[in-house]
Amino acid sequence: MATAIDIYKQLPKKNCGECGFPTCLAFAMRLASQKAELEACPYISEEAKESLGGVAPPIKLVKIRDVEVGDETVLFRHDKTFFHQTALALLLEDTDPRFDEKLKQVKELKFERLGQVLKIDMVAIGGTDSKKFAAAVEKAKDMPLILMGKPDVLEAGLKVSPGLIFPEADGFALAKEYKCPLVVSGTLEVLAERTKKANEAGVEDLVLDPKPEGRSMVEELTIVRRMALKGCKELGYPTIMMPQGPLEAALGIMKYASILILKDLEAALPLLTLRQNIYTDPQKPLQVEPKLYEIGKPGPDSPVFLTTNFSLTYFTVQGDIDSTKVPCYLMIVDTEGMSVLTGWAADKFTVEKVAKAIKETGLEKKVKHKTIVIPGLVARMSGELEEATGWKVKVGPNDSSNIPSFLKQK
Amino acid sequence: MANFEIPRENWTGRVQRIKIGESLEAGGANTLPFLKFEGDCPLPRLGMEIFDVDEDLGPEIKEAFPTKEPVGWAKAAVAKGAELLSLRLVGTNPERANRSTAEAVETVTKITKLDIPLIINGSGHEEKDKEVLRACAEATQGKNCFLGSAEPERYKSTAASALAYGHGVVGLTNIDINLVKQLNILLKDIGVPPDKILIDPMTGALGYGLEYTYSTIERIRLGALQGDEMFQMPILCYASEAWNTRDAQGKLGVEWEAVTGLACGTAGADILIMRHPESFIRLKKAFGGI
Repeated sequence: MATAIDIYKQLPKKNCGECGFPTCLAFAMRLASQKAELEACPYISEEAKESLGGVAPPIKLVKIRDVEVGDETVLFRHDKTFFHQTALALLLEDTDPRFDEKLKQVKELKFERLGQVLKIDMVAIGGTDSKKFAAAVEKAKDMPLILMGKPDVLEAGLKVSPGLIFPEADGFALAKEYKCPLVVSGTLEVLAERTKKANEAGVEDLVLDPKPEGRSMVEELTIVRRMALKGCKELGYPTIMMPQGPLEAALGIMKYASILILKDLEAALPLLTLRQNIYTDPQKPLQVEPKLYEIGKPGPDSPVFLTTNFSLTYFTVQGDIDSTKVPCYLMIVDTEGMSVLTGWAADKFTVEKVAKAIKETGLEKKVKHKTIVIPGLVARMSGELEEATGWKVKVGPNDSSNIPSFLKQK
Repeated sequence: MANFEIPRENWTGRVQRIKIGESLEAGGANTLPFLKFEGDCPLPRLGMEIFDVDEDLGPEIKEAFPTKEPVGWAKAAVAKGAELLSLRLVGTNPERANRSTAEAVETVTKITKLDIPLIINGSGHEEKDKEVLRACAEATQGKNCFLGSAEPERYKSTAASALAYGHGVVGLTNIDINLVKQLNILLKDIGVPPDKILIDPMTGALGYGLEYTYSTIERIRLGALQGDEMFQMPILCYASEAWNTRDAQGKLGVEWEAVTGLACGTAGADILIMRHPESFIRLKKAFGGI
């Protein structure tokens, strides 16, 4: 991989700003960290393009309307993060008598988890007949689409709306004419040849549909990802997979499928949740909303616990309180997603924040005992907190798994 | 394409192959899960979780098993195909049902008669666990059970009971790869052989911290394959944790547990413990199809 300085040497050094960055050096730095594309520079020389070819992301970013797939840079999420979450599509056949009903279902399916809306991203339409297909595409065209079928049927749909072309045979001509991304299928060797031919034919936005021979799909997708990251341009594209059931789909989410075509929505919630988990940036932990949570049906005499808004901390404490079957309040303070000790050390879990939270949540009106239980790990804040708030502070256990016995002793 | 060569990783390390009970082997991988083209990657062993009392269990489990009676439950789980069982003696907790140590020993003794590899867990009550695990270890001497759990702050008595009666230990840490290593070093230092240790990295269920568990397992496994002996013990995950979440109800609970188990297995778990027979069967089928 070229360094920013290596790249800078080959840039025009006009500092024109047309690439969107103030200087050529700034642009070079973005290129080196794969956060910009060389094509953004209108004055780049052919030689520079040639020699800096390695700057392009190892896996091409492909867009189907607002759905973006590909452009991954690592094999393991802990190495950095996965950038573009697996797009989930529901398969609908143009002959399906329940087409309208299923389309409505997929559009309406929405879950909210940790402040994010989880939904199915695309509809894949299987075409059998030009007329039926065109009608089906018309109905679904406000969703990002995958169009599947024989080339002549596909064309009828493409006249209605663009989408990712998933042809039963060669689709270069269609992809070129309608300027749509294209799926190519085959064994690894065939895929590499076809992507090369597609490029020669002027089709650059490609998605790979690997057909493993003597290997499993996980093996095949792992090999594709590894080879792409090692610089094999022919396999440097996002991938698509049609899983047989929910667990195969789950495997695809974890192991390198960029798009999944699902046959039904049966396991949509677990799959969407898994996707959220796997594609969360490990550097930016999931956070829960800072507020006063009710566990069970607490009343004016119920205990009040306090902890941070790091999702894992919240889930653990909430689970441990839940297991006691004692109704409680759980006050969550905004520590920008840090756990108790880290938040304390980084000055994010402070007396001021707790005092503010007590005030803003109106805790005073909910309980009459004016006592709050703080995590044992921040016992040191108790004196100051009592002074700042006038509340009585009780020091809870270091580990929330001891909350049950803590509540017993009370 | 002349230069088309499939990249194969040649790891230097291998996961310890261990035995649970008389003959159940686990571990042994020298590459990441499911990558048969480049090495050994045995599918995870699938076990089931049972309890001595059923007070915390939801209706899904109570309908699926005779949960009032742990030995009958164990038999039913074995009939469903469990390769091992993990028994949780939660009823011994003095703050809960407070079953006696003698009762726990009786339950354990009866279950070991079924000739099924067994993990014996206390209730999490530090003092009582010392007594219960020691007594259960003695009663099952030589059966090569695994005792759960040894934790960084409290591992000595569990390890001592295991060593005294020829059992192994499950080392439990809190989704933290550094603690995994520390605990394994501590266990090694007091004489627990590496083939008598299982790593329980703590399972965050789907939607409840799964991503932390997933990446911790991947990093432990990569460490093992890169040759770090303190990461080479097989990894044990409780997919059953899914049932302790709010999402896990009815049919969704089955999916929740199955996806949790699959994710742990994909990251590198060598042994998966399930609670519901349906998710157990789904996972078994899924692994068969990989």
